[in-house]
Amino acid sequence: MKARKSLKEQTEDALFYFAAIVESSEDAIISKKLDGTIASWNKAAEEMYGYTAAEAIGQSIKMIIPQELQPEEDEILNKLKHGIRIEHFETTRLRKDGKKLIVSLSISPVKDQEGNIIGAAKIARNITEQKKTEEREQFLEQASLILGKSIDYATTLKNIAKVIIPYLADYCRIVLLDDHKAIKEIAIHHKDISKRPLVAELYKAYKDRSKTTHGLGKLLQKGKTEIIPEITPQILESIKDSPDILNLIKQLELVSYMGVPIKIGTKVVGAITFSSTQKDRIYTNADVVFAEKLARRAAYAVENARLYAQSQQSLRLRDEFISVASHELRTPITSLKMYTQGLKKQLEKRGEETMVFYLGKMDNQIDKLTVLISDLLNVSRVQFGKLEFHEESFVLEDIVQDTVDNIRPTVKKHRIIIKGDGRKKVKGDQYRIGQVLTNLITNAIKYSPDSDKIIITLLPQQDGMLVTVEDFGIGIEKRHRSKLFDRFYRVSETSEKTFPGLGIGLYISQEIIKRHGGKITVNSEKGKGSQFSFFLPYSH
Amino acid sequence: MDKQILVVDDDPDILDALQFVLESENYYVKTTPKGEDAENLRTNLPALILLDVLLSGKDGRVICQKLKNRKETKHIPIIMISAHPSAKQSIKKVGADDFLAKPFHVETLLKTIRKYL
Repeated sequence: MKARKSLKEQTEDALFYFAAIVESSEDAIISKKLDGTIASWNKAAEEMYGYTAAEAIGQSIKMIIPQELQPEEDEILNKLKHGIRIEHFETTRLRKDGKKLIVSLSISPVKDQEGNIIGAAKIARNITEQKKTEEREQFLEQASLILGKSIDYATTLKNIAKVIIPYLADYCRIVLLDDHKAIKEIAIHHKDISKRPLVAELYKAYKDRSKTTHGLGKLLQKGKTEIIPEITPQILESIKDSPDILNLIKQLELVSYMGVPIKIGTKVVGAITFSSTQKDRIYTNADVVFAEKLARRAAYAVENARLYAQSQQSLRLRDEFISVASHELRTPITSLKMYTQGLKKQLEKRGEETMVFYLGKMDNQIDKLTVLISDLLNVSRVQFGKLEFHEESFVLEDIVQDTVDNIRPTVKKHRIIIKGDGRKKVKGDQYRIGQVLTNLITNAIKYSPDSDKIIITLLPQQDGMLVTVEDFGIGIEKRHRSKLFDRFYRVSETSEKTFPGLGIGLYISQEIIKRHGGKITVNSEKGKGSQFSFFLPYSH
Repeated sequence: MDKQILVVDDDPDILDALQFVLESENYYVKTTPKGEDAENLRTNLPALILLDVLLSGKDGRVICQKLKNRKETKHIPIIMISAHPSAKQSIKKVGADDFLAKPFHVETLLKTIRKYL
């Protein structure tokens, strides 16, 4: 049976374990005296800061603190002396080789056996990479926001260049290939604006060199990421045959380089190159992975923009076609209408009643065709926001009277009654308001086949005029009312007689009234009739 | 005596149709697809002109303005016609007397003409 260890032995054991833990820790564990002298320095501290324990112990802790943060250390020491707790915090420290580290620090006081504070223990974790990753994620998020903001990808990529500098590079270049594989320069950027011409010159000098081992030509040709972590003297030596390039690279103080293609699928559509001029910015594989992520997002943006432009182009072509077609259709209809009506008049004089009757029917059909064609033209215009508006002030009553006069010849049994007082001048586009009125009145007639009157009321209000077109027809069920103004919406009831039309009249009317800052409202009772109203402001 | 109406439109089909309609009403009709023919009117002046807004190669509004600015022709009523209904807003400035949007009712056309003759 083993004898129990003495207290002394136990304490020694514990100390041994503690020492082992400190030595094998991945966090730097340092202790210092109250005057800031380093008292202990573990293995991780050696690695993290680049000083050996022998170099560090006995020195001031300030050697690993950047100049601008020295007051911070004084404050810490002061707090420690007064026994104030120091919360865990993040700060920057300096390595022996001059590189900066971001560390997460915990500081706790060290007390002697009487409980007096005699120093402090610091545990430091190097969070530089973690911070970098976080920053990159944020950067990517920001880049995505910029890329998604507009479909003008040239501008968005230019903005991307602005965030790449200085975060990811000191100078950079973004190019795209056009449909003919020609290089389109999108952005050349340098953190120092005065050096931008040098960068441009460098890229120009590279232009005709297909033999170069790296650079844009290769990137676009091979579509593979490339990296030169350090521009060594050997590399510079290898380009001594191109003194112009060598000279420019020296002037720009290039330290490290990487380039990534912008690819859509396997197709190379452009490239981004990143150049560093800072000794402590040496591109690593992590940087490459990140640059590739960025390039992928740029590719999405370019592709989205291209698809959008394509769809817009085809919509534009369709719109142009409709516009031309409907104009072309109008001409034969105009002459057709004149012949029909001229013929009808002549036959009337001769008393040919049957012929006159059928010519009248022909004439009605031509009218329907006319409405359909102008609807077709209008709907494409409305959709593209191309409906022209000429705002002027006019007497509402006049335009109502004109519209009714135009419609009357085509109306068989309905009387159109105008009520109220519309003498006050309103503001708007006369012709478009006429269009709305025409639409509402013809609808009223169409949907009240068994009634014989339409009432138009002009009601002066405080700021403008309320116009209501009322019929006593079939009415509209509640569930259809909200959709009534949707494009191509038509009330279809299997149980009911259907009414012809494209379902765009109310859509166009609503858009016109919206452009006047108003809204068409509808009141209706099934089987009793409908009232459509809109409001127009007075002109002052 | 039949009153003379000059019709200017670059579409021959429209000219034909208008000629048919107006002659049926006993007007004496002259037609031309060329804007210059109206622009250079000096003699044998018509009693009224029907003038298309968009002629090929010429703007009917320019012709209208010229005619209205000339002493010999400014009394001639000019009715402008167009397949673009929105053209109505631009014709007042050039001194045109009236406007008709294509396609128009023959009755509307005749009524408008009668207003001036």
